[in-house]
Amino acid sequence: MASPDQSELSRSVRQTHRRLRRLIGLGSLLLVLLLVRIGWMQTIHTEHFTSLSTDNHLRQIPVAPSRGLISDRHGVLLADNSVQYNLSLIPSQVDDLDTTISQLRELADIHDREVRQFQQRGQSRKFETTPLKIDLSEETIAQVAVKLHQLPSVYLEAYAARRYTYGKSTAHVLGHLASISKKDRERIDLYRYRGTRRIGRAGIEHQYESLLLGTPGLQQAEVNAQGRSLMLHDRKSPTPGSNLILTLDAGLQKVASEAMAGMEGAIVAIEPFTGDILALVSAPSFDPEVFGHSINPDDYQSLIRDPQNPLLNRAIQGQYAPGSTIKPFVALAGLESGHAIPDKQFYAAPQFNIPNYRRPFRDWKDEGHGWVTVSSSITQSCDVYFYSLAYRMGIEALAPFLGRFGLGQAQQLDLPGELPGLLPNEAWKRKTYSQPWYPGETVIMGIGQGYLLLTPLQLAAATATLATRGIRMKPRLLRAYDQDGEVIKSPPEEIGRVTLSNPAWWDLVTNAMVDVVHAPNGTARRSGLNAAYRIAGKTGTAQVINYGEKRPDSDDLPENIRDHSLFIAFAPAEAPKIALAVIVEHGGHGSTKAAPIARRLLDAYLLRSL
Amino acid sequence: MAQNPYLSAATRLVAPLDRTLMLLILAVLVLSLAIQFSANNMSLQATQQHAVRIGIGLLALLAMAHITPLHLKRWAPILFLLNLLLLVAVVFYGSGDTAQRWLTLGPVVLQPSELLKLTIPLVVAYVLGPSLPPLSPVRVMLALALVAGATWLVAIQPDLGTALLISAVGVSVILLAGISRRWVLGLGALTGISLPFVWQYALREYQKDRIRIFFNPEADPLGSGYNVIQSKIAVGSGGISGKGWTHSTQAQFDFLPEHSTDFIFSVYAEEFGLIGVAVLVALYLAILWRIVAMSRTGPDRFSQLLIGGLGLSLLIHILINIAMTVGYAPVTGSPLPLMSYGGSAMISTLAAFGMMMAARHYALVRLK
Repeated sequence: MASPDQSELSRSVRQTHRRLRRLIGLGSLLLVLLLVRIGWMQTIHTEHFTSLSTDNHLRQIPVAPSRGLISDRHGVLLADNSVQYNLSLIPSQVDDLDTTISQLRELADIHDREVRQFQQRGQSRKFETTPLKIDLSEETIAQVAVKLHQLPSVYLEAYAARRYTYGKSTAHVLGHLASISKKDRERIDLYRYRGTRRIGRAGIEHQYESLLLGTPGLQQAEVNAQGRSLMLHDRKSPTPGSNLILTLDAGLQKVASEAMAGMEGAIVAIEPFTGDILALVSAPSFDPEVFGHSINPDDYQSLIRDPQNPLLNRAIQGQYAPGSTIKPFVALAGLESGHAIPDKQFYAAPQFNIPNYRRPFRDWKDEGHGWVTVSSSITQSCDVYFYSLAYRMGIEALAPFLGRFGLGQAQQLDLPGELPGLLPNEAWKRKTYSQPWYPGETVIMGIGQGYLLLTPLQLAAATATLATRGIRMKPRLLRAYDQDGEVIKSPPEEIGRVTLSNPAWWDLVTNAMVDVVHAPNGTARRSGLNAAYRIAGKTGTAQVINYGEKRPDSDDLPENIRDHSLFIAFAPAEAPKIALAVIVEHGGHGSTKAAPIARRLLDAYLLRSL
Repeated sequence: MAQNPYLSAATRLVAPLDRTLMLLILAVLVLSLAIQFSANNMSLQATQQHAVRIGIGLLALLAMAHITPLHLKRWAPILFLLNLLLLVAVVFYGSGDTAQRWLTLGPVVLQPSELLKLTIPLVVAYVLGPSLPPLSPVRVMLALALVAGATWLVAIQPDLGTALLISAVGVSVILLAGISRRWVLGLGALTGISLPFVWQYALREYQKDRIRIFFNPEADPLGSGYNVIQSKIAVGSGGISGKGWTHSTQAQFDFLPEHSTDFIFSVYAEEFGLIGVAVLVALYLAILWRIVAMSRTGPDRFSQLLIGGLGLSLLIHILINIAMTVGYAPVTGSPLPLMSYGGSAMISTLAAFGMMMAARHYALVRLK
């Protein structure tokens, strides 16, 4: 290669320099263009990017309001909130679930079932904290808290759990909370449920959900790219839900619930002149906290498969033949329609016959009651008298009169799921069975059998109407609630009045009912012994199956077809403070099971306040 | 007047240094330290490490400034070969997340692909220096082959971004040496034809994704497009005067990945705004034009090509990195010279300045 001479070299150096100038010049131009572009972004579009930047690191985190507390008429707390801790994961952040779980198993007792549940739940909410183990023990919380920094996807999540002070005994009245379902989501205002995971599923919790819920607050959290909160700023505090004051008397509710232990049935106690429900019990019951955060499927299955059906609220959903507890009402119907005359003697044979009808209607007393009046027929529960009275009145007079007491109608109690029962009449029979009404069906309705079906609530409300001498108060559970620091009372509401041509007939029936409990020939005399006040009551024994002509002794029957035992009462008879209905399924005669329970309740309620 | 022997030794030590260029470099390094402190969440330890690397880099600069172009020319092929060997070693022993880029040699963790920004201009200047335009085709082919070889070794790491950068540097130095238009057109055509084949056979799926995302980052906002989106948010939200030093929310809350290395410019733009960006770009431009000025009279063609080539390498790195932060270039994983965290890049960039200053100084000395 020939060595280039000096002038050629210097020309080439000049050329190279020119090329470098051009190349660097081109690059500089591009760099300036980039600067212009950046200037554009940082001036004209900066607001757009600033808001993106702010959204990036500030998250609005809804803060669930604390649910309203529920207390009884004396301020005794029935439902409140307590803090529980969950061990939660954000599924999208978990790289290796098996490893994470085996790490966590060293700290907490985690069942395979909980892992499966977590996986199910996690599928639909990959970016939210999803509980793996709920309601940690103090010890576990401490152990997890120490190791938390080593477990980046794991969170200790505090949440408010609902506690029911009286547990099982108020389960049917208060209801429970459940996870918000897909169906709920379509119905509710999702904005109000931001941060809230559970919703009132039954009972008062469901009925007054919108009062109890409250309004969510907002917190602003500075979060990093992993979504972990670094700092929290308060923006808007949540508004707690309204506290409810119920008409219940917690003490009485507890006594009622204990009195029903091991039995199936219901108790409803009402304050007659206000309609306040003092106690409402359905047995058997269940633990409402089982539903607490997320019900264990096994527990749920055993609840719904239980042949005793503990989830059924028998007090408002159980429909029973009232048996002889209907007799005071039938007596009033007879007096009002003129088919029963006070003090008029009636000979009660062992059985009652309808003309041209072969089948006799037998009295429960084989030898018959002999000479009776309308009053003594109530006291002794004489079937034949009421067969005859009902037959003479006819269904067209009897059914509408019973309807005036609200029987066979939903009582509009502020509790979801109430059933109406059935007050049959000719039109109903034709519509349902395409058959005429037979006179024999009126006859047995006189003693509360046949098609007639009442809920314990209806029976208690009708008994309260006896106590008020015709004033029908709307049964209610909510007495008052607070809102924005103000107590809003819900006043008692009269929904109708049963008027009689002669008000003295109220006294006649009340006195006959007092005799049921206190007279030597009363059917519930054993339950009236040594009472410090006077009780007006009526026993009832409802047949579960039709035995035909001869009615066997209840005690000889297997339990599942044994008669239901019923009792209605109000007391003190002169100035009633409480009216109630007690039903014990397959409890036999009204005087054996239901009446003693009623006495226990009356003592508890009336003597405590004396 | 008797000269102070120590003073004269010190004078001799700093004699090759170009005062203007040094001041500009130090100004950028001050900004670099400030922004690294902020981008590392005000960690003194990380900032100290950065400062130590700057110190080592400045020592390398000083050392290189004393190596005459004659020596450098002699060592050029060996240095390049050494660099290639390190790249081969990376392929077998390297470490890294998605690509193997780093090599551990005792206490030193080295990124050999970063050294290429020194050795590529060096070797191209070595090959093309002795030939005056019109260049000897053999030498051009040799230069192209060396650049292609180095590019290939980086590409199989696989580090496509750096490979492209390296080839751009190599081609730009060849252009600087003055090849004819025919060569330029021919090479352009060859590149155009080979692109579909490269796409089909040479690229891995994630690399294809990178390129797809470059054209449409919003298509995958949480995946590959995330970096660019977050970087643009950082830059745009800086506004005119910035959020203030240490107030980058994009970096502090980890929204912006690689915020102390590849995306340091975004953090800088977020904290110091348009004013800060203008200052930095002005400093870079001043450095580049000072380099242009330094190459003006380089009587020795090797020295001139070396200065120009290193300058072009610097320019390309600056352009690609800044363009990347605003979505105008694919995410390549290449650092911003003098600003990014990372030892290999910082030290090799400063060493390059030392080479330029040496080339300039000894060329001038020889002229006298």
